[in-house]
Amino acid sequence: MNLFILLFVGIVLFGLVVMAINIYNGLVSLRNQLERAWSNIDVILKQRFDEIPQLIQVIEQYAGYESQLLKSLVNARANYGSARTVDEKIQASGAMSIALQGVAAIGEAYPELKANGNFVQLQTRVSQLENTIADRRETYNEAVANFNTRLDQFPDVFAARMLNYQRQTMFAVSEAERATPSLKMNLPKFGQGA
Amino acid sequence: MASGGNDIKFIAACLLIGGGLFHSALKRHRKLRQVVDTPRSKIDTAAQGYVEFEGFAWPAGGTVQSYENGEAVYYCFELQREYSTGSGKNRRTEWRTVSTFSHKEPFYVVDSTGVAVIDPLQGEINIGETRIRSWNSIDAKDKERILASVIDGPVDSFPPSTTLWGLFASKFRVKESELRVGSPVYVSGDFRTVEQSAASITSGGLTAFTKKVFCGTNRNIKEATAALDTNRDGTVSAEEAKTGYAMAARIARMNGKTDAEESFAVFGRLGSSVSHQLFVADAFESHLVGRMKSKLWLQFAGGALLLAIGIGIPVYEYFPNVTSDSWATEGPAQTSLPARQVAALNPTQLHTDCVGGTAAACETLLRQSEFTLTLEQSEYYKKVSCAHGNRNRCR
Repeated sequence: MNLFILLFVGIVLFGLVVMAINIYNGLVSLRNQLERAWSNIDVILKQRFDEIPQLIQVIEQYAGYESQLLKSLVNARANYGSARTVDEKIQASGAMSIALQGVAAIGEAYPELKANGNFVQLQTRVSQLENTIADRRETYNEAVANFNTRLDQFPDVFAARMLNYQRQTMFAVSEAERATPSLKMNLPKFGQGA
Repeated sequence: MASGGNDIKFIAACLLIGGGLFHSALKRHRKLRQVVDTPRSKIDTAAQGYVEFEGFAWPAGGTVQSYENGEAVYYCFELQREYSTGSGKNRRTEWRTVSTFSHKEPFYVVDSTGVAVIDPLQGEINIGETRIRSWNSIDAKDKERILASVIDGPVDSFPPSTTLWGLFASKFRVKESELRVGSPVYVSGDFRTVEQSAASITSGGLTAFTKKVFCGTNRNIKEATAALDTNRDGTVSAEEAKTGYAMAARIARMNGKTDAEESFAVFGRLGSSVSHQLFVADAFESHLVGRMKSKLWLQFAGGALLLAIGIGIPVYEYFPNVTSDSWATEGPAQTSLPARQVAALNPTQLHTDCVGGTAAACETLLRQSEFTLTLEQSEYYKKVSCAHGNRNRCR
């Protein structure tokens, strides 16, 4: 009888050790996946951030510096520049996306601006960056979902508490971003431009 | 448990098979976790480094004709012959590979956003099913295909003679695995982007195929359960998905010769790096996960059990005090000498002490020389030990 007890205890202990190693490694790997997924978005957000001054310069020539769109672009850029944590960056990025939605609409209001080669080029570039952000956001959200699921699952939940891992926030689209850009809200008054 | 060489063989077999099973289960589990945990990327916006894609296989160069005239981008074939050794009760048969053929050229994986190049030579290919068929069961058309394009050079006694209904001919079988054009693929590996201007392709049927399988608005794979679920059980199995999408690709490629083709950008190449090996599977991630999970816990349990037996038997044999029932009821019996004394004794001394009346010496001798004592000697020392008061040996 004791042999079987010994065998049972041996199997259970061995299994527990293997499971503990597996859970620990799994959580660390997930955490790294998450950080990597965020870094991959951050690179693109930075590229978009760098495009904004050029965009402002071009729009300024036609719409004037006092336009509401330019103000919101400048503010959004400043907010993103001062954001440090992931959550802050996600919020600032949302504000920047809303501001950039107006750029597409301003072209319709100023035919000269729409005909400007630089503006078209910049608009295309920003649009490409927005697409990339959208795709990478999907990847990031999947990584967050995987991470959060594992954090809530038994028995990973205990290891996660020991490692002090916290649930992460998804990079979701805000209500304001989802709304159709309003010409009234973003555009300067006609005739105000240069 | 009878002592002797068979015991050692049994223990070694348990340890080897158990260790192998457990190691393979652990490896499979690790891979499964990696597949589940890695977030999926879209080809056109994927970052450099380790990524996973889900899409469809499409030929980059030539294809090979596989089973039922299907076009495959990856194909492995083995011709095996049955060999017999021994006679009577000792007769054993085994299959030995006598000819092989493989087509492992780079191919494309296509998702709703673009195309990436895969080089199967660089990585691990996980094909769900290896088809094994006896040569005699293969239809004439397929035999013709195999003889004409798959088997390279003459093979002894092949094809088998059909004289006297092939009664005295050698037995052959074929093993095939393939990844068909249009088949769903899951790939993960190290992604490197290529220069955009240098890379775009136009391939017959690809435009029609992508329009058929991808949704234009949300850039995902179209919901096609109604078309793919051939057995009407409400779910699309891996096999149904493979057959359905391969069929769609076949039709698209046939019509592709006449249709106007769009060009598709090749965004990069997926390969192996030092830390991540390229992994290709002929299924969507959900099906692949199901396949990898199948019987995994059974494999874990089997491996752990065999390992425990392999470790438990020697423990039981060498430390009976710990494992015998008397431990629980009577406490540890003095049936062997303390380790320090054992080290100082030789078998002759132990024999003298045993015959002289020290039961512990008999027990130590039995333990120490378990695999070298003959059955008679072993029985003799057990009797002496019993006579000197070790009740466990009186059974």
